[in-house]
Amino acid sequence: MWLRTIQRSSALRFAVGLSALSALSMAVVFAAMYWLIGAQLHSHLESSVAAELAEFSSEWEARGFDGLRDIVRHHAEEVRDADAIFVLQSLDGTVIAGNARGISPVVGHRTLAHREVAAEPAVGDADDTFYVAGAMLGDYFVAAGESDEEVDEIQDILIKGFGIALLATTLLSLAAGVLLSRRMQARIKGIRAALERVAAGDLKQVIPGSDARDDVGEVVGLVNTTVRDLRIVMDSVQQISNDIAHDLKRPLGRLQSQLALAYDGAKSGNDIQQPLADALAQTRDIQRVFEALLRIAQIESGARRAKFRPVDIAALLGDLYETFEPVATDANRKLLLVRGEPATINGDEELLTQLFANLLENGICHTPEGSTITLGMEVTKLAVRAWVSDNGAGISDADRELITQRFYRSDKSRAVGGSGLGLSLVAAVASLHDAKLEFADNHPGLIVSVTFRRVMI
Amino acid sequence: MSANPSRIKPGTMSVLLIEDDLEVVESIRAALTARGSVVEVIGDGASALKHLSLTKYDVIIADRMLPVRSGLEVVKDMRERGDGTPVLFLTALGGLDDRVEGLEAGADDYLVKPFEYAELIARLEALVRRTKQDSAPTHYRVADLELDLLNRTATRANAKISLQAKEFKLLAVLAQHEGKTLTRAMLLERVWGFHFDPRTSVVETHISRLRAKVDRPFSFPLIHTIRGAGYSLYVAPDNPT
Repeated sequence: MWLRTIQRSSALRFAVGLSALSALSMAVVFAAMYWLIGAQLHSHLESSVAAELAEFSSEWEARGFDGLRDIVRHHAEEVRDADAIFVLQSLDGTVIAGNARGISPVVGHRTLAHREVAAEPAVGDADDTFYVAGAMLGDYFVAAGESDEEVDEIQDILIKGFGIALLATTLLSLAAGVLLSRRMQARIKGIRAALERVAAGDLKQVIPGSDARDDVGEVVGLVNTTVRDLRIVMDSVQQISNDIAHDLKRPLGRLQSQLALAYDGAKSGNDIQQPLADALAQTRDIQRVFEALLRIAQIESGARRAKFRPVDIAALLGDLYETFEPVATDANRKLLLVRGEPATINGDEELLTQLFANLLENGICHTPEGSTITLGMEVTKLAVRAWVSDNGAGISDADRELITQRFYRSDKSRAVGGSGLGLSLVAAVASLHDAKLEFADNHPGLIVSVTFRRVMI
Repeated sequence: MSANPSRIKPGTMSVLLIEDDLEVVESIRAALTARGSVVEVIGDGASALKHLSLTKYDVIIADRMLPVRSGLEVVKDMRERGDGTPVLFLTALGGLDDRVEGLEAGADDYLVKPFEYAELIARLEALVRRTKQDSAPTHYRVADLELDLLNRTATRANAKISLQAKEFKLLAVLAQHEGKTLTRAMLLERVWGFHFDPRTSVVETHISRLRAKVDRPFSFPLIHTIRGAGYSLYVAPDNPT
């Protein structure tokens, strides 16, 4: 169970790995320290023994045998804890003075065990080792030695201290790891539960933890944004399919009754040309709706941007004016053109033509007879603003918010007809061109303006 | 302004239809053979290319989506080997870019599915006619109407007709296809560059303006409405020049 948890929780695995690594590095540091301190203490022992021997030697020089015997005896008497030996012996091994048994007369340094040097009765720790230096002074052998007991003690303390420190850090880092991984697991559990509900189709889920100021919080924030965008897309897809179904119900119903009329007419030998012509016109209207929907979808996909070319807005508006002026006149409206200087933008001429044609046709179709529609533009250093305004009834503030939605028709415009897609297409084309589309009150009437970034060539 | 059925009946054309949708194949074949054209059908692009190296047609109808090799590849390949047979491209509804790609590959015209047969016939005839005139003339004469495309002047019965730019373009497009029917969609594309269907009666309004200047002051009309199809410029047989 524990092992499974460790394997499954990346944070815990990380914590265990990290504490193992820190324990290992601590051990390396300690080994180096242990060795260095030991070496230092041993060399200290050696030099102190050497100093004592030098003292004996100078006493021998100064006062001969008596002086030597006295100083060895004196040193030996001062030893309390059996941690040092001093010995003066004759060549046959008889101890003359000192606190040790006779040892083999070797000149120079060596290490001897406690039992090799201890006098009877033995005092001191049997485990001790002695650093011993010996010298020949005349016919006498003199030796001084010190126990490494202190070195051992210090090294013992080092090992104990290290053990405690190692245990403490390991436990601490493990505890921290467990705690962290518990917290992380709790967060991830929350995220997973929320995502599972999202996967099951509940797009209203908000995944907890996006307020945490860390990388996980950041990821959660991004996932939340994605889910929210997905929800908006799903909602609008649902809305659009509802709208399409709703919007096509009426023309399809009309088509059906026209065909029924033609069918009845054919049966009874009446003229069926008119109902068939009506039905044909009806199918064209339906096809137009689909064409517009597909076109908007394609424009919104942004693929058209690859086909952008320099377009002179002034020439484009001039052409449109010439095209729609007679149309407006025939519909008892007046179309005016406010000409601007030539100004180039980067765009898709075909789509821009359709954008302004849609706005002009809206102006012509949604104003009362006798209205004036104005097509105009103004050029600044960086921007080209083109607008279509009218002095008709205008639109309400509420409609202004919704006007670019697919199939949206204000109550007033419903009677006039139209697919309800014209302004969606306008909005899509404007957005494709990164142009700003604004609907404003023209006091009276509506003014729709599109502001493009100007291109200098 | 009644339709003259004899004017819209096409001459027999030899047509190669490259299309794998059997329903489309059958209806196009029926519509064209009923008018006296000979239609051969090939279902994939690779076989069509092989076949085209052996046989010539007046006009080719190619679907964009084809098995083995696409309609685009067929047109590109044909043009690369110098085959100038006019190609009408069939594209899917809403395929904005398909049309541009098709024309760039070397197709001469396009038609969006689903379409009406009058539209198909009119476009095919315009294509066949276009290739029969080797270089596009800059001067047209239909009865007593004369058009000079270079100087942009129009005269009828030696009287100068003052036309706006769009009106002149409309008249020129009609004159270039004398006796052939131009549909609303064809006129919208060729005169106004509209690749969409406007809500207002753009074509009708301009045709009526044009008639007021070109036909009404004179003894007989040249611009005819072909019911259910479009417009055509010709001299009706009962109005001899």
